[in-house]
Amino acid sequence: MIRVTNLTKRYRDLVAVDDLTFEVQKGEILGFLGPNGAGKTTTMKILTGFMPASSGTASVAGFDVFENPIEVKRRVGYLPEVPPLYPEMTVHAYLKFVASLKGLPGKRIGGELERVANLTGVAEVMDRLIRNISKGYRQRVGIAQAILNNPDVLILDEPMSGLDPHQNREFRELIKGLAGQHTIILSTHTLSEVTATCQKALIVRSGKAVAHDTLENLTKTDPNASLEEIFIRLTTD
Amino acid sequence: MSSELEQAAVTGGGAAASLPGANAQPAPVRPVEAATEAAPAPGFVRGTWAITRKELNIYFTTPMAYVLLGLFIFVMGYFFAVDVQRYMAWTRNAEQMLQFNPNALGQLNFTDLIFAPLVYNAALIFAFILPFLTMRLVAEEKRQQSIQLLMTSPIGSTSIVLGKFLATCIVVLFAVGLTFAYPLLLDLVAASGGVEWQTALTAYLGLFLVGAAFVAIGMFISSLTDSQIVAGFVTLIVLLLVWIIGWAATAGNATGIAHDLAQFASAPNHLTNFVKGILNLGDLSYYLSLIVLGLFLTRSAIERMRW
Repeated sequence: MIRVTNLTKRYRDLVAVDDLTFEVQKGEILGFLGPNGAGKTTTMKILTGFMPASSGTASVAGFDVFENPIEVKRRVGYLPEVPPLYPEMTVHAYLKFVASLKGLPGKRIGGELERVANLTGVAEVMDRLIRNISKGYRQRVGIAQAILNNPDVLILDEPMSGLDPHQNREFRELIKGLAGQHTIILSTHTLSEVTATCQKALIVRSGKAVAHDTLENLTKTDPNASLEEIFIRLTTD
Repeated sequence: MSSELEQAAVTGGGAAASLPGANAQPAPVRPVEAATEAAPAPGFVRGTWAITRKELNIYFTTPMAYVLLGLFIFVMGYFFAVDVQRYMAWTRNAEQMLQFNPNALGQLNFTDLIFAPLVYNAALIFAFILPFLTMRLVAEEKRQQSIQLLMTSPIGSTSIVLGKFLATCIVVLFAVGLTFAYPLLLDLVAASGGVEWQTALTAYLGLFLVGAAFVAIGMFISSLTDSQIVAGFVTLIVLLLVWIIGWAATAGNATGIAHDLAQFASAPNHLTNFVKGILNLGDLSYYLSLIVLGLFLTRSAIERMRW
């Protein structure tokens, strides 16, 4: 579903992503791990068609991100690190706007809004201004806009930040519920989230992949170590 | 009652929607997955319109548009009153001079003495208030990082720019529409003649074009920064410069090409013909070029954010 080949992104004198290659099968949930500044967000921005790579290719559902950005964008739901919200709008107006932005025909918008609102638990704040809702709700509205229009691929950049433990558990359930139909890449620092939701993990350090395997295989390498210990070992020199 | 109906409609729609994919996917365990395949990209017109509607929603759910429209109509009302007072004074003068100049009254008319200065003043007020509308257009999207949503959705940058421009032009159109009260009022009280509507409409077209050009300039400046304040302030200065550059050149005794260039760049100079009721291709293309240039530069600035 997602194929990244020799992807490299250079900013002026910094190599953010360095010759990264990986694949995500349909229906898989991939935990994208790495210390801050390891190139996770950059990789995600390239995959969503926000920015071009310096070299290498990336494709979603067989469409190249650079050659066919529109086809890629309509199949990808993206939640950036900072949820892309408009504080002046109500949750309802905002989600309606995103639905029309994604090309949903007017008569399907109502039902689709109800579906994502119930899924993400924002139904009770639909008529409030986004500026007045809590951080947890904002995060959920961010997730709601990503899953609007039921995209094949979900790219979630630290989706759990700002959620309290209750919401965290709900979110885990939500992600599991979306699995199978959707292919999901989610980046996080919370390793327990990865063990709870993902089948596979991709660990990057300084833009390079240092591990890409199922969680079982990762922990099998050293049966006495936790995922956290493995993560620390892989991402320090 | 109605919520039950909606519920039924939603479940019904969901069930029908899951049918095409039924053989490809195992039966859904949760109603979550019961949706059809992602909608096609919205296309140019619908994408642009989605952006326009969002901007209008923000303009009219925040006090901004109301405050600025109110301010605009208030200042315009003042100028209108002043122009009418002056007209009345001149009429009294002309009546006294009737024995020396029998045509004195005939030389006075609403269009030239009240309406024309009013349109100039409206355009100048635009230079003061439009920066407050345009300053947030792109700068705020950059600061809030909501621009990422727009740039990862299946619409092109042209739709983003055009949508924002159109929404702001609709607010400008509101402002222009509100000033229709003045010529209507003049027409009502006119003993004879009244307002020359053809001239008035041409003048309004010119006024709208000035506003649209200002919006395009302001939007471009807004796309260069992520601070609304900076964008608004710089836009105000640029618009005032465009307004006074002609006067400044004359006052500074500029000659030759410098003078000609300054006169050409000056926005009010190109309004003169419109206010007289003359549609001049050169004036029309001055404003249209400003608009196209502003939109094009904004698009380039947005595209550059990707790198």
